[in-house]
Order: sequence, then structure tokens, then C-alpha cells
Amino acid sequence: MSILAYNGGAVLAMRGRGCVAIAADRRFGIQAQTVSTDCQRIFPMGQRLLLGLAGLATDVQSVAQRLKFRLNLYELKEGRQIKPQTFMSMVSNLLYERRFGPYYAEPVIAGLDPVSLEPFICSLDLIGCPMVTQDFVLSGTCSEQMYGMCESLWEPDMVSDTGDSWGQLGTRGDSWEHVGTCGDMWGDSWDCLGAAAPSRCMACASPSGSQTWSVALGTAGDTWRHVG
Amino acid sequence: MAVEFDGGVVIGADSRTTTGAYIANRVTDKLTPVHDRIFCCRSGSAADTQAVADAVAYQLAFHSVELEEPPRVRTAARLFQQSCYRYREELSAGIIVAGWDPRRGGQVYVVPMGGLLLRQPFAVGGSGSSYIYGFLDATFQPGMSRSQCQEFVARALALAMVRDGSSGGVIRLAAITEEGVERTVLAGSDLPWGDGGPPV
Repeated sequence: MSILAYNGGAVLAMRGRGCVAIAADRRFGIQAQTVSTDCQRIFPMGQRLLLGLAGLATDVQSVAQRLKFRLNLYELKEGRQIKPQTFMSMVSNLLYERRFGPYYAEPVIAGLDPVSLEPFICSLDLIGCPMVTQDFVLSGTCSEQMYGMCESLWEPDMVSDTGDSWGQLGTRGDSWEHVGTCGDMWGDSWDCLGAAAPSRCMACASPSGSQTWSVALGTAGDTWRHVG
Repeated sequence: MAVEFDGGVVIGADSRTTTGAYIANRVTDKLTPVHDRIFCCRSGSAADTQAVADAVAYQLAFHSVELEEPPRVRTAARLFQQSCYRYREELSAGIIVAGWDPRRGGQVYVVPMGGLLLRQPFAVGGSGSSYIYGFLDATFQPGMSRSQCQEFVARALALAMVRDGSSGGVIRLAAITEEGVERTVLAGSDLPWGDGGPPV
């Protein structure tokens, strides 16, 4: 039996519009026997940065703890929160240090850039090879099953169900009234149709019926009120 | 597993079939009829147990026609045992034979790997059975009623399914009596946990 399948487990992260999501199972087993159902596989590494690890349970814990140690020192020296891309390199370095006697853990990282709030996901193999994707990442003993589900169910620009500091994101076709300070974000395009076909879209003042328009989405923390 | 009661037997099984770590079938029916009132619970290699059960079902049907009466449960168990013992080196089959016949009522026979034949008041098999021997020994009482047996079987299977990775899915139960076979399925929230929710 593969050493990565001894304890079992699976983690999965997806990227959406302005958000990321990460999920893991909670079974801890010894081969076929289930020992507990409250095992932690996702570790917070920052206010908007999460690390999920699948593989041998002892190495999942060791890698998370050693990484947190290095991250704490980084944040003390730099005086700021780490970017997800930099954290990925930190994980890669920690794993590759053990190239010829590796940690049996395969991480996935999900987070938002501390400044721009750009969503970021990536995964690495057990010796630290990083892979950045725009859709989903996963690792674990049922990776084939998860690949099947993700490939079928994932679509771009899914929004958070629970809302976030942007307020209710609604769906394409809705109109928005921007009530906070403005600043260009990603230059995303939205199809603007308006709630009750007003003469002007309240957010960008483009005439209703315009097919696509760039939205000044502001920055995180701005207040939005969903009007359509 | 299978349990005798006065008037019949209750048999039950989980519904998981695995190839390695992949669950090939999560709704398997492991309760296989070999005659109208005689069932078997299959564990071990699915291919081996299906092949043997098919052969026994044929032999029993033929025998029943010759006899002009329903076959005895002991006969069915003996037929299983003859195949499992003769081909003991090739097979991986742990079988519980349970049913009702007019002569001796409800009976449970176990034919474990190797080809032993033994009658027991109740019998368990499969990889998940290891985890519930303590529960069974502490909880079983002779002379239980049909519904008590059904609850006993369901609780035991649920506990095994929690702990054993090779067991899971739904609980399939069957009660075999003179009147016939009554089958039920316990899925999801129907699973019995005793007091206070699942163990872990």
C-alpha cells in the first residue's frame, strides 16, 4: 500500500470571482480502520491564506507546523503579510530540502493577495514542485474521483454563496450602486441590463442595453449596495 | 450477519464493494437468495462467492424438485460447504447461510474460509466483523423477538460500517419466515446509533 494512502484524506481548492474556497475531509484512519472523524487538514496561515495538506498524517502536521514557524519569522522580519505566491515558494523550498527523504504530504494553497485581493490557488507535489492553476487544485487518495467532479462542475466566475466584504455579489445582469470610494480594480466586464431598465446604469452611467462595460469595482472594503 | 429467532432469521449486510481503495459499487446487494426461504450473506471475493452461490442455487432448485418439498437450510449450507472445502486453496469466500424451513424453523449456518460448517445462534463475517465482536458478545441474548433481532443486526452493522473502511453504504436487512421474505433498506439518517449519535 502506498505510504500516501496509509491514513487517507483529500483536500480540494477552487477559484472563483473575487474568492477562493478550500475543503477537506476529516477522516483519520489506519489503513482500513477509522480512528477519528475530526482530523484537521486545513491550516490557516494568514488572515486570507489557507494551506490544505493530504497524505501521511504525521507529515501533514509536521509540515504545517514547520511552515507556520518559517512564516511567523517572515512576517516579523518583513512587517507585512506574505503573498500567496511567495508562500508557495516557501512551501516548495521546505519540501525540496527533503528531496531524498521527503515529507509524505501534498499541499494545496488557497488565498487572496493581502493588498489586491486577487484570488490565488496552487498545489505542490511531495517534493515541492509547484503548479498554479486558474480553476481548481486537489490532492488526496480519491484524486481521480475529485478530478472527475471538478472537471464537470467547475465553471469560471462562481461567486461566494455567503457574500463577503464586497457585499452581495449577485449575478451577471444585476446592476449595482457604488456608494464607497472608487478605484479601478480588474477591469472586469459585466453585462449590464439594469433592474427595471433604467435609462442609465447607476454604477457606470452607461446607457441601459449596453452589452459589456468595464466596471470600476473599487477595492475590497468598499461598500456596495445591491439594487438589482 | 445473520441471527436466528423463533420463527425465522434476520439477515443483514452493508453495501460496499471495493477494488483497492475505489468503491466500485456503493449500493451492492450482498444478500443473495439461493432458494425461496434460504439466503446467503457473501464476504470475501465477490467473484468467488457469486460463482459458488449460483452453483448452489442451481443444485438446490434441482434437489427441491426431486424432494417435492422446500429444501432444508442445513442442505443448502452443506452444499456451500462442499464447494468451499473442495476448492479451499483457490477460493476466498466467507459465507453465512440463513433461512427458514418447515422441519427446524429458522437456522443460521456459517461456512468461513477453509470450508468449516457450523450452526450458530448468530453469525458475522467480513472485514468489518472484527470491530464488533465485543458489542455482539455483550448485547446478544437468546430468545430475542424478530424486531429485537432486526435492531440488533442494524446496530451491529452500523458500528462496523463506521470503523471499517471496506464497509459502508446502506444497511440491507431481510427477515425470512414461513410467510416469506421481507426486505428493508436503512440509508443515511435511518441508521441506528443507539443513544447520542455516531460513536465518533
